[in-house]
Amino acid sequence: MSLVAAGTFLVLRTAKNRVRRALQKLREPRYLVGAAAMTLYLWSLLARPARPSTAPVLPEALGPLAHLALEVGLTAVGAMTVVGAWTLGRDRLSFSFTDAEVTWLLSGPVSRSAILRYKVAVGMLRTLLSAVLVGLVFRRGLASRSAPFFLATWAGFAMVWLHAAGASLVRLRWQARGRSAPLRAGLGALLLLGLAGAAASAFHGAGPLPAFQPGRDGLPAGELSEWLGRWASSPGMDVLLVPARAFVDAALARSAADAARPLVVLGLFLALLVAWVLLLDAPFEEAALASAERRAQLEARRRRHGIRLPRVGRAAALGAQGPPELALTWKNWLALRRVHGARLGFLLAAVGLGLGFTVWGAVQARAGGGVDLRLLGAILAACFAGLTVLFGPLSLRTDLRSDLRRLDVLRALPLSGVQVVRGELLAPLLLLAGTETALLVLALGLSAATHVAGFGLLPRAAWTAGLLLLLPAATASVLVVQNAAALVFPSLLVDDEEHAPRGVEAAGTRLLNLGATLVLLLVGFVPAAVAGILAGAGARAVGLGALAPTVACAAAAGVLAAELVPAVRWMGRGLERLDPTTA
Amino acid sequence: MTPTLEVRSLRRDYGDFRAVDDLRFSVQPGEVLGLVGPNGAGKTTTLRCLAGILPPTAGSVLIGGHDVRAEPVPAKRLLAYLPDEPRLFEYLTVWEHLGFTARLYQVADWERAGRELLDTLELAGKESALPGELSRGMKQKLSIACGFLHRPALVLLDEPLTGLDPLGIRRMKDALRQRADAGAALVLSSHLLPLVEELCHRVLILSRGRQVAYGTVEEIRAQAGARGGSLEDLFVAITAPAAEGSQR
Repeated sequence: MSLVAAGTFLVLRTAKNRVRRALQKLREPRYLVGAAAMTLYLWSLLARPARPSTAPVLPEALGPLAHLALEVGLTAVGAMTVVGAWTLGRDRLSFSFTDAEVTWLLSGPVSRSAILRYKVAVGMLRTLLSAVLVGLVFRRGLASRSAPFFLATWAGFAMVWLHAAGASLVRLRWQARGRSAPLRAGLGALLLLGLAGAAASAFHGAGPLPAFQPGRDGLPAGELSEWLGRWASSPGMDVLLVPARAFVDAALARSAADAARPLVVLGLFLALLVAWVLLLDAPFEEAALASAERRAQLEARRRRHGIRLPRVGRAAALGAQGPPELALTWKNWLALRRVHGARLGFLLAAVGLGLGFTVWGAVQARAGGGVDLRLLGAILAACFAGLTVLFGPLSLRTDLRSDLRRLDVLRALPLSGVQVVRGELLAPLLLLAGTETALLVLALGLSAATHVAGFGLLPRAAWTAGLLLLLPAATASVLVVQNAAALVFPSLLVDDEEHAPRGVEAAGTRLLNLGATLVLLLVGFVPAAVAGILAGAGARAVGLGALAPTVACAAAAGVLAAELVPAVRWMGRGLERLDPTTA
Repeated sequence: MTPTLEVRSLRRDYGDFRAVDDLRFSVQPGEVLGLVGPNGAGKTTTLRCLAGILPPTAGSVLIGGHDVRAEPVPAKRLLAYLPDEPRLFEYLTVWEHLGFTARLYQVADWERAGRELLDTLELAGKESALPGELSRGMKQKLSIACGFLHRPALVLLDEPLTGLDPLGIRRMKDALRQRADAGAALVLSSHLLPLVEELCHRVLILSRGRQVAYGTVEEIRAQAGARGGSLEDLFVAITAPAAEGSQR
């Protein structure tokens, strides 16, 4: 069996098995619901009827100037890509190999050119899929005919891919001969000189730019268009613009007949590039190995949420005695510090800058500048504290959502399910509650010296005291809902060590998860809100009007906390029943 | 003497598939039991049921007299489960893993015991390393150190020598013997039959989820009607007919 046949088999079987696995998963109603949600969402985005073919497309609506500007812009981008591919960066492959490809292909009884043919075929397939995606997303806004637009997009992507691949292979050959640096520099200089020469020649041939005359309405679009036309049709530029012109003509063609000629031109370019790449005989094996290692490193880094492996600093010691579930809390606290350390540092720096700016504003105001930035700082701090309730638990996922992938380890620990849930949730809750507390205190402190009509210092203090109780309770509710969702949909909402959950059903489940979180929070918050309103009204009735906000928030926080107790128990029982073999 | 581990009619189903059926055995303090069987025989499922990770479909597992299902926390406090793939927390250092384990199992003097374990397992000097900076063998050693820290009465090991270098294998075998001499009961699953023969007092052979032989190597030899031969010969003689029977 040739490698192309084996590669085709590999690609088709992989696709088939992925689809089959996804369909098998859909037998479970929970995943079926997720898939249905995402399908509906995609349908609402993509499957609406396209614009009628007679309607003008965007560049046409803008006129020939936009058409020409598009060609020139694409040519400029293409020129930069070409120069960059030949001169910038290190000499390495532009396409990557997986570990499996290195193991199976490089050690297999196949020639270098066969491996290259396989990689080119896979690259073409990937550009095809990208073109389909782009075609689906942009077909209504740019083109009236989907097929020419899709073919032109595919040809464009494929040409860029092939050129980058060919350039990297040639550079590897130069490197193997020890002549990469001078050849790159020489070619780079030649390319830049050629481009500059063509542009200068075109400027000379096109004559002087139309003058802008004050008093006339807008730019002289007609004259500018004519000048640009002369510039673009000058001998050197005419040749440089051929690929971009063919692409734009094909992509924006109003009919199949209009698209035929530019598509033939693009096809010729594509064929030449394919032939060039396949005829290259560059020693890419070592670079393939390096690319596989680089890919593995990137994958490992992605698993660490895009952050390099952190340096380990001193950590507070954990005593051996005390509630054992706090070991999980301590472990998550260290992970949060090490995962989000850099981001938390950035956040603190931003808050510090904001604080310094505010203090400066306050000094200015005292000096008679009339600018009160303290109030602005207070409002920002209060808003940020409020936003932390929802977005904090969504972004800090160091709890069951990351640890359920080690369910067998959790299950072997000498802890009950409730203890595990408590221990897991406590660290993110402490971090978020601490942040909210700091922000609320900052807000009160900043606004203390500012007079706000109708909202004096005493009510502000009363609200702050109440929110100091309510926001952590609300944050705990969001954390519980998010973690409960991960228990119900473990294979879709748990952060996987090897690869993120993918597929339509995973994306749909995330969408549903967000919606369900909001609905559950609303449902959970209704009794708390009612309790808060009643308690506040009661406080006013007994003459404690000034403390009514504190009493109301405290009552609401109490109800939320009371709701959390059975929820955590339910989660604990769910964790004990969760089957590690199917989760 | 009360057995450290007692397994009564253990059964575990995955849907319609019966992975483990009617297992009955016990392990005394200081005894090493080898769990062997062909791929897919149910060894890992058995170990997971013993560790309380998977609830049995039927039957019961008692550790130190505590039923793993009815009293999971006291039962799990007595055991250490060491899976074939080390499952570590990527943001805890080597030393922090030991501290974490000490808190979970309430080990008061863990620093001294931890140092000794790191020395024994050649992890001294790696205290500040994160798992991502360790080789596979070192991760395996860290997993073992965490498992041994609370001096468990029962140690369950799934392929304990995978990823270890020859010196590591030698030290691991010594460490397991020491644990057994100190009174711990050990259940180890392995495909390395010479290791099982060398370390284990008794052997349980599984085939297609069923217990097809149980006892000392001598007793199994007698059950199989064989006069001589290694555990490997016995294993092939016992499991090959079962596998052929399943293919028919």
